[in-house]
Amino acid sequence: MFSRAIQLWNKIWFEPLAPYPLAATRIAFGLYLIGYFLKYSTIVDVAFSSEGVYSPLLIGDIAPEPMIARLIYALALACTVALILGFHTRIAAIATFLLFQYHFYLNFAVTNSSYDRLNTIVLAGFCLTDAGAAWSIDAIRRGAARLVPAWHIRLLQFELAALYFGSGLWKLLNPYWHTGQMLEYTLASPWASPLGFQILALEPPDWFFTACTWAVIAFELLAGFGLYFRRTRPVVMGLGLLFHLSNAVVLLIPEFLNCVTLYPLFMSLPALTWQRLPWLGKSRTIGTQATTGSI
Amino acid sequence: MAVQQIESIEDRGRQGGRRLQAADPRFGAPMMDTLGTAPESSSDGRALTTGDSSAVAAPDAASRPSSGRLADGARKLAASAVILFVLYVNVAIIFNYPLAKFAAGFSLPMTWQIYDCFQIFGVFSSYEMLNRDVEVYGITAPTKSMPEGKIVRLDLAEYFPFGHGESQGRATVARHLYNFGPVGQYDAYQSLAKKIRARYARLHPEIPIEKIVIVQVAWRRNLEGFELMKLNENLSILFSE
Repeated sequence: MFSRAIQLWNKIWFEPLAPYPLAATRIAFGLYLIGYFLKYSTIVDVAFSSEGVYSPLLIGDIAPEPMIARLIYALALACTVALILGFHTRIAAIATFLLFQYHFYLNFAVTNSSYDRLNTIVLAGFCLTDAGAAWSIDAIRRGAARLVPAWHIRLLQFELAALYFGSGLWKLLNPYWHTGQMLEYTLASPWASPLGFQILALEPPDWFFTACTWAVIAFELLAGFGLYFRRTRPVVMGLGLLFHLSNAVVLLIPEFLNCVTLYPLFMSLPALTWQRLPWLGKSRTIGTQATTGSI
Repeated sequence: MAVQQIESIEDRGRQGGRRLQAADPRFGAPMMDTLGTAPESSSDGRALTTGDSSAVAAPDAASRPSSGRLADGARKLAASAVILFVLYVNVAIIFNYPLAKFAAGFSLPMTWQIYDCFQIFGVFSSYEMLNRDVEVYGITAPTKSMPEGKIVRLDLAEYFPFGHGESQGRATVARHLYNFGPVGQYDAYQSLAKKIRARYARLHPEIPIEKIVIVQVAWRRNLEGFELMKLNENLSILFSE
């Protein structure tokens, strides 16, 4: 009994899987992180320097003078680019994680946002996993991609599924979410974009908001499960993209698009064959077609 | 169309996976350990092939010396600890918070620091009928004509260059209240006011200010526009130096 449990545990978490879902997520999440950091590109001094206005959490007033702050900020961008390219991936992942944490505790944490927590978890995941196993400069230099143990992919899959399910459950059990009023007034809140007010100006009936509210709850409750199944996966991904894009456009909260960057973890991705890359001087191939091991 | 494309990709993926398993017996080896110890390439330095034009390198666990297997076992144990931790934390947070009212007072052990790192579920957990906005004022040094000093309204964009929602969140330092209570929030306000004052002095040296006052304005939320009903009647002072 015990040995069977161990075998099952090993099969679920340690069977070797194709690395492409993790590689695609590394690239997609890295691009997201670039966008996240670029939001601050014109306000580095006020956000991260000793001449700025920020509320550090747990780390004290350690912001350096503006020139150093700009250098640290540029280093964060450079490390993120290295992570995207898979150049010394493990080092890049650790450096990006540490630099994100630095900026997080200096300035992001005060907003108490769930998306920052997810960013931290995903970056910590990249530090622990072989995110550069494929579609990376590291893999090109090695001459081959390599398999990764399943937990490198499945733990982040689980985290995203738990995020959706927990959010849906939270809303399902929260009386505020049982009518459409929550959504209606959120569209008129400080987070709303002009488009939110334009939607309200159309004076949709109450049932519209109620239906949208329950659609959000149903989506969040089921999305985590739906991503695991091949037949439902494209639908969940499409709805998820629509949901997070609408959050970005109507509520000016694009940061939750980080959830979408984790969708490739659930996909079986095709081979990427780079043939005759002229700057490498010879034909090289990396990648293959393989499953993610999901259902 | 998009659905068909994704399914097509997946079908190819599954076929590829089967081809890989058939071509490389090591892929199907039981409990092959690949905890970051996979060889960097095949023995001749080139990509392994699977009958396709591409390859994935897989580790050969059976050929490892026993010391290597011991290290792999230790890595697997460490990885299992990480996996169990993440599984437990997520389950505990769901059980302790959304499901708390069904738990009859029982909760799974959890520190607030871990909760704080993993609590990613409570998005928009309440709403209100009021809009709120933060305003920052500076008070200049007293003069003969103005013994209490002149009040100057500061341009919020110079200190909180964000949207209404984010500026509100930052200026109320609610996170510090949430984590460290009123004393922590007061300390954060003091620090914030000091930074605002210093930045103002750099940007506007012609009108020195001595004190900072952070004010919150609240007004009834209107579906026709954010600031439509905004009147500076319902003011509350969040912090004053």
